[in-house]
Amino acid sequence: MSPFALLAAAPAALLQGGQGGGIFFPRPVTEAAAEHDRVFFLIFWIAAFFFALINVGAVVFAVRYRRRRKGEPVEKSPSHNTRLELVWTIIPTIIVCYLFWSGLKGYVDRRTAPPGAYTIYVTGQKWAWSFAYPEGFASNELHAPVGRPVKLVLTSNDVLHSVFIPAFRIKMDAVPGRYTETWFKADEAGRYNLFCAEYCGSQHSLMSAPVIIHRDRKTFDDWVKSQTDLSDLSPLELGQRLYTLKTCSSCHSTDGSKIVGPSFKDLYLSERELEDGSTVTADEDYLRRSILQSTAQVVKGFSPAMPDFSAGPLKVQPNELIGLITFIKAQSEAGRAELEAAGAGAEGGGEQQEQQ
Amino acid sequence: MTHAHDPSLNYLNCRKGLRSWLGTLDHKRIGVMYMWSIIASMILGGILAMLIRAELWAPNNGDPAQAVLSQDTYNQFFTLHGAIMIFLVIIPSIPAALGNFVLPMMLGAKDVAFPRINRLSYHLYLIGAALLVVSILTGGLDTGWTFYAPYSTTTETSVVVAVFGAFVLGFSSIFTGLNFIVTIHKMRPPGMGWFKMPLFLWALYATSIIQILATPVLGLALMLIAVERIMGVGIFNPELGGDPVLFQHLFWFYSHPAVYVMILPAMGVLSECFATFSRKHIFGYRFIAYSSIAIAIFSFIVWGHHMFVSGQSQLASVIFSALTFSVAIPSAIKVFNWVATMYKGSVSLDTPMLYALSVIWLFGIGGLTGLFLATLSTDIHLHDTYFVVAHFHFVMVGSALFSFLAGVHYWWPKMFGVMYREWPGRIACAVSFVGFNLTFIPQFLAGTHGMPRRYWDYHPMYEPYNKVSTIGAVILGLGLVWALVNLLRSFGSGRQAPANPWGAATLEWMTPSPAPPHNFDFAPAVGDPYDMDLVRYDESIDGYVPVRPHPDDPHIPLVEPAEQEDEQ
Ligand code: HEM
Ligand SMILES: [Cu+2]
Ligand SMILES: [Cu+2]
Repeated sequence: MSPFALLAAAPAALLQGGQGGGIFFPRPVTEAAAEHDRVFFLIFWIAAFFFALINVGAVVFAVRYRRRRKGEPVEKSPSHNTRLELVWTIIPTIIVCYLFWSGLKGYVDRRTAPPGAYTIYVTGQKWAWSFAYPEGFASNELHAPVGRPVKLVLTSNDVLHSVFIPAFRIKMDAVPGRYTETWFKADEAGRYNLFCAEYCGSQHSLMSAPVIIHRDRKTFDDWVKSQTDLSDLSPLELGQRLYTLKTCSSCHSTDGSKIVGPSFKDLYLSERELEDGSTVTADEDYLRRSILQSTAQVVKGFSPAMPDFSAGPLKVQPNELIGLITFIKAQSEAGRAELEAAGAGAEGGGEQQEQQ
Repeated sequence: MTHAHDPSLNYLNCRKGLRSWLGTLDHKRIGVMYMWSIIASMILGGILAMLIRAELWAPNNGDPAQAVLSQDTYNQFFTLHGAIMIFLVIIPSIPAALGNFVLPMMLGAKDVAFPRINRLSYHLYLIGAALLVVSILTGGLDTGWTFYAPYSTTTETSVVVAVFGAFVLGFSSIFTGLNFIVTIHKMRPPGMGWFKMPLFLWALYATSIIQILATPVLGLALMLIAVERIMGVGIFNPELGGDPVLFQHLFWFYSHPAVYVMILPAMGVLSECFATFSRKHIFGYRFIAYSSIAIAIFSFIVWGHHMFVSGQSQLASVIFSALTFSVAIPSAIKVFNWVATMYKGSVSLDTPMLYALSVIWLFGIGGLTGLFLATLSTDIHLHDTYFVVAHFHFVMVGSALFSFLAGVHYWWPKMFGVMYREWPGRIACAVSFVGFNLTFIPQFLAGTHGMPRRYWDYHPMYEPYNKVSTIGAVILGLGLVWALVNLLRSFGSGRQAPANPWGAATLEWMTPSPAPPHNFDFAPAVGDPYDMDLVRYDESIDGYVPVRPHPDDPHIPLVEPAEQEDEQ
């Protein structure tokens, strides 16, 4: 490469960044993302050319023909030139036709999943994502192996939401009352962000989920197994698993911080003041009712925003209910003492490290 | 106010008292009242913007205790910021304030066709603004300016009052448009064929068409929201049997054309500025005029480009993308023509022209980034990110608002009969320009990296962009305040304005500054609006005077009737 060509290539490399991502984008992780970036930079360089043209033109004319003296005579020059004007009408017309064409393929590709793709049903709900896997379990994390096409079928339980995974350059609205879809095939293992891109109220900006791409089919299958095989877990372990699976963790912390709902820390056996002014003790029965009919007793300072766990996609089974209550107990001194006395073995529960 | 050289009355001093203003039928007074109302709204919207930027200065890690504003307050603030800036500031800014003031004068007319409707439209503006304030006081509004259903039909905030406010504002806008269309059709003076009209009037005409055709659909969509909320009729909420995507179609059927209600008049102001401050005939008059009409027409068939990932069919998206590119062409034509106008001119860098030149840069960025959003593949990634936020601020603030400021500085002498000081005006423009770029260029990068819009909190990786953006916003704020202070100071210390300070050839300059109550003491004869040879510089008044003054009125040039060869 000649030095001149190198010099010319330098800014392009900085902006486009090849494998590194560059100043504009996170590193593309799918073929579709790489294709998206190619289209972006095609437009970028065309736009940069026209931007430079008009601005250099404006500055040069403003300097070259600046007014030196008020009232100076102005040389006559033509006030139109049909041929020139046709040229600068027709050339941009051709260019935009080309741009339209260049964006068509990537769009249709990213909205049409290949046949046989692994299908995950995604449900948005204020303010958490739930991913239902074909193996029959749900999680609030999106997992997939490298190299496998994954179709996401989206819907929402309340208002509009939108699944946005910047590393894959995909986005699709989750619309209540219908299914929409998008898909991806990740080429690189890692942890990526999924954001909600459609405004949905108070916690919109916190409505994210981790996207975990496993390095091969085996680690993914192991993960699936760990999710589906809940049979020989103790109630506490089951509860701990369900805490994330049933999306509790998106609204209830275990470290005392207030998210959407009250924290589980020190909840068991504490005195709760309700919206209607009455107070109750948070015993097992209170916890049961709070989980199954959350709107019946809203704690003061909170809104009745909790999803329905007595029916529908998030339905809590009787054994799961015991697990969850055990887990909540384990988050407070009183509950831990009780569990220990009962010999249930509070080891592994206790303080939660779970990070959102 | 004193008028040393002209003892006769002008429109400002002919009547006094608040009632003489609020009840006036004079288009100039209505225009001026619009202007102050818009500036007041802009200050309110600007304060909200600063609070938003303060919140975004640093990430909160999901913890409200680390935040400047609570989530709900933040959501209300960005909603109000958007609603105020769009419905109370940018949409009425140029048409209702400057258009009202200038349009009849550019026609050599006494007033608009329906002065009473004009007054009504200002009163509706005030009522609509008041309703928005009431909605703030009665529970706020947290839907975003886009009012997307079913969020807007289920949230507990004061949506009904707010949509009613927007509905009333819509009528204000429709009435203004109606008035302008009739005025332009019926009140052009003899000799002013369509192609002898100043380009600002072409722009206002095109704008008015959009206002009267598109605004009713917004009114309809907003009323349907109220119907769903009050009566529980299922229109948009699927739980009641409605369709949320339908709302988006109705909303954007208005709101895409509405963005051209914001930019078309701005383009009109720019056409006037480039010609006047280059002392040259505008280049490519007909292309500019036709492109205004083309934009108005195309703007009605592209709304689906806001919905590429909404769930509308792929085919619809493909068609809307193709159609969207059509608006880019007339926009580009205008920019080329403005730059070409400066060629071989006598280009002054007075404050209005400095704003106009800034818009070449800012609209360049705003318009060209529209290409990334119109392209299907790239919009999937960029939609609803900060890239879109940056794009529309470049067009609505960088282009429309800066053009409004160009226009305010341009017509200020005619409005108030005084000259502001040039240097502070120029510096304020430069400061705003720098602040603006600093605020919004980083937002493009935050967007391409994936930061969604309407986020109270963000991933720490977006912090650098947000830091720079907030710093830029402070600078932009200072620049705008400085510009306002400089304008206001002209009331105390400004030099008396000559009738034609810049050397323009359009009719509003052929009468004293400030204008007499009935605009012209003597009906001006019509020449080519861009024939700069009609006026010459007169050092003694530091302004321009007709080369061959009319024997009956020294402000008016004598025009050969033979020049009026136009059709119609
Ligand atoms: C030059 C031609 C332009 C093109 C091709 C263009 C294209 C687009 C597209 C495709 C979008 C949708 C992006 C998305 O939501 O994903 C968009 C958004 C927007 N544009 Fe433009 N645009 C242009 C000029 C303008 C102008 C002149 C204005 C206003 C003065 C404007 C104001 C807006 C606004 C307000 C939005 C976003 C609205 C919202 O979602 O809140 N655009 N533009
Ligand atoms: Cu959201
Ligand atoms: Cu649009």
